[in-house]
Amino acid sequence: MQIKANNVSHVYMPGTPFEKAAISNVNVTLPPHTFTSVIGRTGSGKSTFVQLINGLLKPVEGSLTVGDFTITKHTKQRELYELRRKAGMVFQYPEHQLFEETILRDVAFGPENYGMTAAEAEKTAREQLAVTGIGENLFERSPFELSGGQMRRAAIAGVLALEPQVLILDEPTAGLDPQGQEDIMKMFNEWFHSDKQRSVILVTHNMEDAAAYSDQILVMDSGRLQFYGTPGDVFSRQEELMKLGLSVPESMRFLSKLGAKSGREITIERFRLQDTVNEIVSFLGKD
Amino acid sequence: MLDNVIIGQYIPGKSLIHKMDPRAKLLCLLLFIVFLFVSRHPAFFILAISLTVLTFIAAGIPFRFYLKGIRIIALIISFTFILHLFVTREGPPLLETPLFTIYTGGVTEGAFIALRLLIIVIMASLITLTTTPVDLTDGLEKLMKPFGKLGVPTHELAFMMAIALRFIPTLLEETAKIIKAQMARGANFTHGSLWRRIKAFVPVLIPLFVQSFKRAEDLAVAMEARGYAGGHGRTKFRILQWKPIDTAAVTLFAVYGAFGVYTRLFI
Amino acid sequence: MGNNIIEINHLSFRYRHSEELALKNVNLHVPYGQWVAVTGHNGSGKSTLARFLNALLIPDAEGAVIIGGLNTKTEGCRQEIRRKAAMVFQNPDNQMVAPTVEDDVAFGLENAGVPYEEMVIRVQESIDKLGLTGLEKREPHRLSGGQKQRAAIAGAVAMKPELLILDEATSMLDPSGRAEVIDQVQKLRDSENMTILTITHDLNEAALADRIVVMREGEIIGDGTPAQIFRQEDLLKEASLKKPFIIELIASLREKEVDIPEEVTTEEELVNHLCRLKQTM
Repeated sequence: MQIKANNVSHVYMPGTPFEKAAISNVNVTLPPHTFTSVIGRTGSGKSTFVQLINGLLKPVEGSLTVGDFTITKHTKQRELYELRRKAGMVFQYPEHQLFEETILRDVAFGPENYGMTAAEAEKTAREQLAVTGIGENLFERSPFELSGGQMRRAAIAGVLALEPQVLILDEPTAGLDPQGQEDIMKMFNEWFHSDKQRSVILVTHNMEDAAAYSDQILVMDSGRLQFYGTPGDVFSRQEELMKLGLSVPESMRFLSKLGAKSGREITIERFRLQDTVNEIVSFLGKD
Repeated sequence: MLDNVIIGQYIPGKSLIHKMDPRAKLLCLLLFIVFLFVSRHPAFFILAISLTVLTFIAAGIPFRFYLKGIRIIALIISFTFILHLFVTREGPPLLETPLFTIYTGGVTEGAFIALRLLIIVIMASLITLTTTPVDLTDGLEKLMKPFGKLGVPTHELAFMMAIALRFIPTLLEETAKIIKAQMARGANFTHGSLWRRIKAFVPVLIPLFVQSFKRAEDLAVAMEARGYAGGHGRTKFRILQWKPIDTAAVTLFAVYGAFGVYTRLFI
Repeated sequence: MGNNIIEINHLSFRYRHSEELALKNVNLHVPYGQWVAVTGHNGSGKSTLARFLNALLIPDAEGAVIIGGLNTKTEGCRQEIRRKAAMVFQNPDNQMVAPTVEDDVAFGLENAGVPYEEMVIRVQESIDKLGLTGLEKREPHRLSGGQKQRAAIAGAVAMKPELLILDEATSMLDPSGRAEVIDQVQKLRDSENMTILTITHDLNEAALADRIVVMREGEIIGDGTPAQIFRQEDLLKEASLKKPFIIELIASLREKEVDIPEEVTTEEELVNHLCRLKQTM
C-alpha cells in the first residue's frame, strides 16, 4: 500500500485552554512495500504522525491516503475502523494491553472484533503466535504469567493477527535487553520481507536500527518533517541531526571522526560492522 | 476524551486566594456550604452570590477553566432543576397540561437548588484550582488532627489521598493509551448497544487494574526503600502558615454564616 | 574488612512459588568509592541482588549482606542501612511519591525525621546538584523521563548516602534522558566520591564503571575491569550481552590482521591509533 500525507496537521484538544499543536503541514509519500523509520526527539510529533496513519487520530487539516482509504477531518469512525485493520499498530510497551484469560484468546481478540468466527480467529492466533516465537505449551497460560519478553511477543502477535498490510511500530524494543531487542527487530524484518504487500513504519530512538532496516528515514522535530531520504542521505547530514538532538549510527560517527582526524577522504555511509571494518582496511591499505 | 476532567487540576498563580492557608480555605468552604442551606432569604442569597463573585475575582483564574468542570455538573444541576419542576406542588399552578402541572413553587424551589449547587461547585473548584493537591491534603490532615485522638488514622488517610491525587494524571494517560491500543485491535467503543459498549471497556479495565497494581507494588517498594514507616516520627517539609488574611477570610465567612442564621430566625 | 562498603557472602535466594534459584552462592565485596556495574540479561538475577543491598530482601540462614558494617539481618539496623544505601528504580513513573519535585526530594528526609530548617537546605542542595533548579514546583506528569529519574536521584542524594544504587534507572529512558542521568551520576561520583552500583544491561553504560560484574542465571560469571571483561568473548556471549560497538570493531579489525595493542579501548584511542598506523605505512 502506498501511504501519502498531504499537508497534514494535527492539534490536541483544539479550542480548549490546553490546545497544543502536535504536527504541522507534513507532506510525504511512502511507496508500497517500504520499511520507513521515523526519528526525532521525544515530543517531536513522531507518535502523533503514525497514529494518524492508522486512523486513531484524524487530521485537523490536510488529508492522508493509505491504500484505498482517504482520511480527512470529515472521515467517519466506521471507515477509520476498517483502516485500523489494514494498518496494525504496536504501541510502546504493548504488553500493557493484554487482558484475556489465556494468551490464545488474547491474540484472537482482534480478529474476532473484525468478524472472524471463533474457530477462524483461533487458527489465525495460533499462526501468529508461531510467527512471534511463542511455543504451543504457553497458549493456554494466562498472559500475566509470562516473562516480560514473552508478554511483548504475545502482544505483538495480537496485532499481527489482524493480518495488516502496514505494521506501525512505536518503539517496539523499549525496555528489552540487547538480545531481546535484536530478536524482535529481526522478527519484524522477516515479517516485512515475507510478503511483497507489506510495509513497516518504525518509530525509534535507535539509530542503529533505523540505519540497518530502513529504506527511508523521516526526521521530525517540533511537529514538522524536517527532511527525509535513504539512511545514507539522512545520516550524512550529521550536523543537522545533532542540532535536532539526534545522533548517527556509531559506525558512521567513528568513520567521520577518523576522516576528520586523518584528513583523508573516507566513505562514512557504512552501517554494518563488516562494512565498517572493510572501509577501515581499505583506508589503511590506500596510498 | 479524558482530558476534560479538572478535579485536582491546579492552576499556578499568585493571587490572594492562592496565598491563603489551605486550612482557612477549607474552613471557609465548609462554612459556606453549611450555612447556604440554613436560610432562603433573598438578602442572604445575594450575600452568598456576592461572596462567590468576590472570591472568583480575587482568584484571578480565567472563566474558561471553570467551564470544563461545570459541564458535567451542569447536567446534574439541570436534572435537579427539572425534577423539582415536576415534583414540587406548591404555590399557584403556572402551567397546566393533561399530563402534568407545573407550580410556581416548583420553579422557585428548582431555581434555588440549582443556584445553590452552582455556587457550591464554583466555590469548590475555586479551591482546587488555587490549591495544590498536597496543600489541600496537608490542610485536611491538620484540620482533622483532633480526630486522631479518637483513633482516626488521619496521617494515613491524608497520605493515601495525596498519593491518589498524584497518580490521577498518570492513570488518565494510561487509560487513554490502553483505549487506543485496544481500538487498534478493533475494539469498538462508539458503536452498538449500550451493553456492548459497556462490555467493550472490559479490555481497558483489566489492563488498567493490572498496571495499577504493578504501580502500587513498585511504589510501596520505593517508599520502603526510602525509609517510610508511617506518620510516627516524621517531620514535614511543608509547613502551613496562618496569616492575617486567613483570619480575615474565616471571619468574613463566619459573619456570612451568622447573617444566614439571623435571616432564618428573625426575618 | 573495614574498607568494603558492600560485603555479600554466600548469598542464595529463591522466590516463593519459584523452582529455580534467583541467586546462587553470590559473593561480592565492593570497596568504598568504587563504581560497580552489575550486568546480565533480563532475569539474570541482577535486580534481585540489588534488593538485598538495602534490606528490601533479607538473606536466610546461610548468606549475609553487610552494608557499611551493618548486617541486614539485624532488624534494628534496616532503617539505617536504607539511609546509607539509597536506591533509584527502573520506572520513573512509579517511584515519585509526592506531587512536586521538591516534595519528592524531601520525602526520605521527612521519613528520617530531619528538622525542617535542615531539610529545606538539603532539598535545595540536592535539586541544584542534579540540575533541576527551576523545576522545584513541577508535578511529575509534567517532567520528562530523564527529569523524573534525576528527581529520584536527588531524593536519594539528599539522604547523603554512602552508596547509591541505580536499578536499571536508565532502561526506560530515551537517549537524551539516558545521557542526562549518566552525566549526573558521573558528576556525583567525581564530586562526592560516592560508591555507586548500577544495574544495567547496556554495556556502553557499564563501560563507564571501574568494575563490571557479569551475572547469568543467578550466578556471578565474570568480575573485572571493563577492559578485562570486554576481552572475554565467550563470557559475553554466554551472558547474552552485546559488546560496545567500539570493542566489537577492534576485535573485527584484529581478525583482519590490523595491529591494535591491548591498551586501545575507546573511540578516541582507536582513531588516534589508526591514524598513526596510516602514517607509518
